[in-house]
Amino acid sequence: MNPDPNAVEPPQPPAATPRIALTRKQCIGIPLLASIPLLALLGVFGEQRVATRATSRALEMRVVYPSRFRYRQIETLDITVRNVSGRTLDTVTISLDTAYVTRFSSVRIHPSPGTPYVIAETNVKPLESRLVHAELWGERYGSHRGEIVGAASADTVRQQIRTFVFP
Amino acid sequence: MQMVFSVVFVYVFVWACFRILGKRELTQMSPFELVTLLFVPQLFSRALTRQDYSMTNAVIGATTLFLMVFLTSATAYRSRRFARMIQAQPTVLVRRGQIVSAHLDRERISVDDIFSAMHKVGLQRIDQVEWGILESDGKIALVPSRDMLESSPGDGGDVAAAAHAASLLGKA
Repeated sequence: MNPDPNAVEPPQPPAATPRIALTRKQCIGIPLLASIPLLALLGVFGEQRVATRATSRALEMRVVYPSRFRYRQIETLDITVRNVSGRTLDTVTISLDTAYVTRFSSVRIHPSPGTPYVIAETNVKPLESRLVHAELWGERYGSHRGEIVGAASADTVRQQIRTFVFP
Repeated sequence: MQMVFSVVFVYVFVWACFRILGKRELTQMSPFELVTLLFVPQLFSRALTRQDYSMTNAVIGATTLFLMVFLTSATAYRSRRFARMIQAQPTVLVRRGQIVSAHLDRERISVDDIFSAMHKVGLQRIDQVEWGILESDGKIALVPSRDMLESSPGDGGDVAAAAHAASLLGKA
């Protein structure tokens, strides 16, 4: 067919119905590729904090800790102990698991521990709460487990914690 | 979550910038334009990472970008309307041996650029060009005139050009 000698545009390509066709590798790869941003949107790779509570006869301990966060991000660990005994407790010690704490770097704990990772709170009145605040800098990848122990005389309260640091 | 939105935003923003700049910038970058292009990732890198240097963040960003590329490509293939929206449309620069000056001005293509493209396919004169088209990828495509293709062996120097042009058409 001869082209129109008066046409102002070159001949257009013929119409065709396009269909998306994927190779076998693409059939596997594209959903995998799509799953990462989708999971990220759902918060799977984001920071998450967990609050737990444990009680004994004399103490109630509430721990808010990061269950997962990313490499080189800073997260906080908050431990609140409350005297539920009805009498003043001379000393309440809060011990952070050394195996857990040493998995992080630049750990700052307030109030400062007297001995490594053991904080002593004195003269805790009935129903009074004391807060221990720690900053954790995720330096090592992977899952880190530990135990927080609150103790007053012979009474102890324990709480297991687990934090996953994404690479 | 922030990373996904950031990458989507930057992808659309950079695409819009290139779309506004025009087709020519895709293939023919001057030193100034090259510097501009190199600056773009520098300017956005901190905003994208937000001090989060984890591999997780980088992987999320990269996969979001690749997914955007695939989705854009697939949608453009399926929908002509979308393709017209995101891709530059071809522009006629030469029509049956006549330069369309208004289109040259709009696309910032000089007559020298057209002649340079002609020389690459063995054409010497503008009247040897049936269509000169600035394609979506920024390259200039030339369709030789029918006279050029039908020229006899006695036409001397134009024979080689006609043969070359005919072979190019054959590839197309």
